[in-house]
Amino acid sequence: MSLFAHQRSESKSALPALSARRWLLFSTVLCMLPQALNMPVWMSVVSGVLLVYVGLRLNRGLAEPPRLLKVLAVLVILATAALSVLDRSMLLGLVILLVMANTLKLLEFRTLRDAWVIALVNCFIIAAAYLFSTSMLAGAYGVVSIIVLLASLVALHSEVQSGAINEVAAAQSLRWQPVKTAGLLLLQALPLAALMFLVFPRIGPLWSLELGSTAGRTGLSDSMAPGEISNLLRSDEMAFRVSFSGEPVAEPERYWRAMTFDSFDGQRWRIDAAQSQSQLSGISSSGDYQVIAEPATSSWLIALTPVRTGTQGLKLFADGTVRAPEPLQQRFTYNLASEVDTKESLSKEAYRRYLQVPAGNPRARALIDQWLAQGLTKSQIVKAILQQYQQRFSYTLSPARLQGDRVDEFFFSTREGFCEHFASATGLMLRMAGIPTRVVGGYLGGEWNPYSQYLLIRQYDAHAWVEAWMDGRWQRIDPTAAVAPERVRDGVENLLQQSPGYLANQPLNILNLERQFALLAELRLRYQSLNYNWHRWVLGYDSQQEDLLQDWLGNLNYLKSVLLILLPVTVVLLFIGWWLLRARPLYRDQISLDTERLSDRVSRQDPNLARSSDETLQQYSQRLCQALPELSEVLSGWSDAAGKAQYDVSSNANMKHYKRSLRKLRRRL
Amino acid sequence: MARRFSLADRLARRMRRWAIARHESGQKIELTQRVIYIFPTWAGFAYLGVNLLILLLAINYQNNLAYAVCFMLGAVFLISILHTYATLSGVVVETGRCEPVFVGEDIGFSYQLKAADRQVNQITLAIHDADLRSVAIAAGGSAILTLYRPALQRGWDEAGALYIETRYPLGLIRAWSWASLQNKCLVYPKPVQAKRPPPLSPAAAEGSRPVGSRQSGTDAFQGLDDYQVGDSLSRIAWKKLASGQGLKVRSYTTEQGQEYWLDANVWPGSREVKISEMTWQALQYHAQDQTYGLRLGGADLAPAKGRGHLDAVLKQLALSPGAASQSEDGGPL
Repeated sequence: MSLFAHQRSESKSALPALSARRWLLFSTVLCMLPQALNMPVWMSVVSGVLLVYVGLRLNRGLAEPPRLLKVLAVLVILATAALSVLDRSMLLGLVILLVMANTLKLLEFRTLRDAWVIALVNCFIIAAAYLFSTSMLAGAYGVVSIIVLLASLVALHSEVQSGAINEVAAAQSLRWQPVKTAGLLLLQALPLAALMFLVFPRIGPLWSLELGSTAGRTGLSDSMAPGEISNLLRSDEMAFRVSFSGEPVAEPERYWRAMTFDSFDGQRWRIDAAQSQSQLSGISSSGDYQVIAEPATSSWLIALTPVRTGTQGLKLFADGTVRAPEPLQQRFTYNLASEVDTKESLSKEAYRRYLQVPAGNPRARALIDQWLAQGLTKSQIVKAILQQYQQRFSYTLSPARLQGDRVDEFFFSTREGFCEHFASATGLMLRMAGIPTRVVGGYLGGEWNPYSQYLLIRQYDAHAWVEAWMDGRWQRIDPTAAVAPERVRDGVENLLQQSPGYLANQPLNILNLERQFALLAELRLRYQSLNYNWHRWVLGYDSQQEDLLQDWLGNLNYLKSVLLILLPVTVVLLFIGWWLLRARPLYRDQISLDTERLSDRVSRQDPNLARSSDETLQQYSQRLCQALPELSEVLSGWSDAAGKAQYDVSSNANMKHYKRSLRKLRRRL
Repeated sequence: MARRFSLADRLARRMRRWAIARHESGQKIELTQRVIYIFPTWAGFAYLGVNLLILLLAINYQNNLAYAVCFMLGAVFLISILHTYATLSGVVVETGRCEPVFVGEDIGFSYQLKAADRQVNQITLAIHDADLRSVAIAAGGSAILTLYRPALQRGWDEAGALYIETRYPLGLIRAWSWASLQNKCLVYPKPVQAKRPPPLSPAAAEGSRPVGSRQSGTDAFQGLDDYQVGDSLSRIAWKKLASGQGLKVRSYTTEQGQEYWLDANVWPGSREVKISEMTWQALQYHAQDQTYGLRLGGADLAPAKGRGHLDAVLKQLALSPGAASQSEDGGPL
């Protein structure tokens, strides 16, 4: 016979205390709420109703549902839940199933073991929720969820203390006891957790995963036909945030290249022979600038051209663009360093490729031929085109539709459009003139946040321009600057305030409001700054880790890293152990403890004022009154209140009065 | 029936034997680091397992907030080791008094727990075969826990090793100790009414007195009195109580000068039967306020009456040899 075997099983089968069950219910509700947004509506409603029912049963003592009903509910809900999550991603489906299962488990929960199952599933859901939202709000919400979860565990494993002098007060303090204990645990755990967060090596995914679909995300697309970027112009979503290790790049130079298009079929510019030239090698020090990219459909990253070195694993292309190893399903942080001065070269094959011209657009060809016949040099042709733009063209976000020979139509008839139209037409015409040309898609400008020193690039900053091979190097030509220099100078936001297409998707846009309220603008910048730091130091810590640790500790070897972990952990644990086990003087009640503290405080000024062991509180107070006559009023008020509170411990009013008088006294001391 | 133990079971038993043998037994034990053992519970291991899953999640999705949750929960696990230890550390356990019971009743082994200068939010005591009991104690306070287990045999019953445990605050860690405190309780024999009237004691016969009889003539029923504290339970008129007439006790006329003997030498039946029947008879005499003596193979008690005498008689009966062997040979005691 195994000793105590039956006893342990008994403890598992005992119904946990009511308070513990309430905490557990609360914890489950907290874990579920964020997922309610991800779940099909009917499931949210069903689990909401179930949870309300569980809550009512706990508080009102409703009868338990019949067993058959429970089994039926479980089967129906799990089956339909499984079916309805099939069209979602694996992980979301899993989380939803866990949430539903936990809700059902609460319905028929009886034993401590059941409670543990629910608590552990909640742990997992709290962590998994961060795959769907990583905002600061989500972060704070998670902390609250963890505290409540721990509180439910504390409640499950505490006994109600009986025989307290003041039962009402004891019950009151007991209600919040689990949360206080949980908070304390979390607080004490914080240094260790922070340390682990700092030094735990961030390794790549163990296996590849798909997280949700990328549909609905905005961003540059892999090809460009005039008219497409305008969708981006309607979006003020964040695209990139850039911080510089030194001085930020000058405003006119903020051309963020994402991709170059080398092939044109008369309608659409495409990326053709884009082959990864090399993988960037890891950089020893942080680059010139760091970019935090928001999730996007493509894997193209922005860079100030051309790139020299950057975060390890990035793909570098011959045209100086960079690409992430995979599409950006999550926020992605990388460092880059720009090339200062290099010899560029263009192979014969590439030279030919950058001169390819589709058939059509006879009027443009005729114009170029005419210019060539006049003996214009390459740079003169560029100038001539830009001059045309300047004199005859207008910038608009809602241009007329183009058909047929689009460049001809744009250049000779409609004469209105935005960056894509200008870039597209310029690119083709320069090629016709025998200048190797490519169209560049990317972003222009950005909003500088002075608080956190970073540049915020939104989707509406999307831009297209042209690079031409002249004098043995690629030169940037921005035709849009010719027609609407203010677009380049002030950003699209200022230029297009009155344009109907601009930000049409957000009628109540905060940017519109801000034009009227300056304070709002500042608040927004402050919030963005905070949010940026959150992204940079918490969500994007991976890319900081190496540099940070190196900065602090120099080169890490094996011994050092082990010491780095063990030493602080030991110190923290020793300190907490000491704090928990330290000898504490025992006081029968709060009032004597307060008096002792008071005595400590006044005796620091005058050792004679310490309370002697044979003095009653009243005698002591009178002695203090004589020694400190200026305090006599508050002192006597305090001792009277203390006397009243001591003689009737059950009265809350007396205790409150006493606490007030104590605060008054402390302020005067 | 042979029972097979799992490896964990055997390890646990070996561990317990070793732990109990490590410290001397006494009336009192203070739980210090010398005697406190600490290990994760199964729930604690499950918690670590879930934490590992969260870590995998964080690694695979490269999600720093999931990392943060993982490290937070992991650190809480570490911290809770200290909290669990601190809960048990410094607690003093003392054995309490134990009231004798009859075989078939529940023995209550009581223990007094004194908290050190911090609150003990949950502490559980258990002894072999008894239900475990948990309690919370205020800082510097004390609590008495009584563990009940059925009395199976007359004689002294040792509580055996005391198991002291806490899982506070989170149930992830179990801190426990084994104390071999001396807590024994006297178990009186089970009272059994004899089928035949008790035999006359030879000694009584010599004294030519009618002895050992329990005919109703000798303890004539006189009437009902109001119950007073201290009256024997067996004299309560239960039927009257049940019919709603309040707590009454039957009173009997006592014939002065009459002495009864419970004599094992003349009592028929096997040894244990004898002892049970003599116990019943002793209780009967006490209830009737008779004077009675005990002859039990050398351990003789002169006729007397009263609570003290009854206790002495019952103790003699409980401790009479043969209790351990439980043999039914029926030889003279």
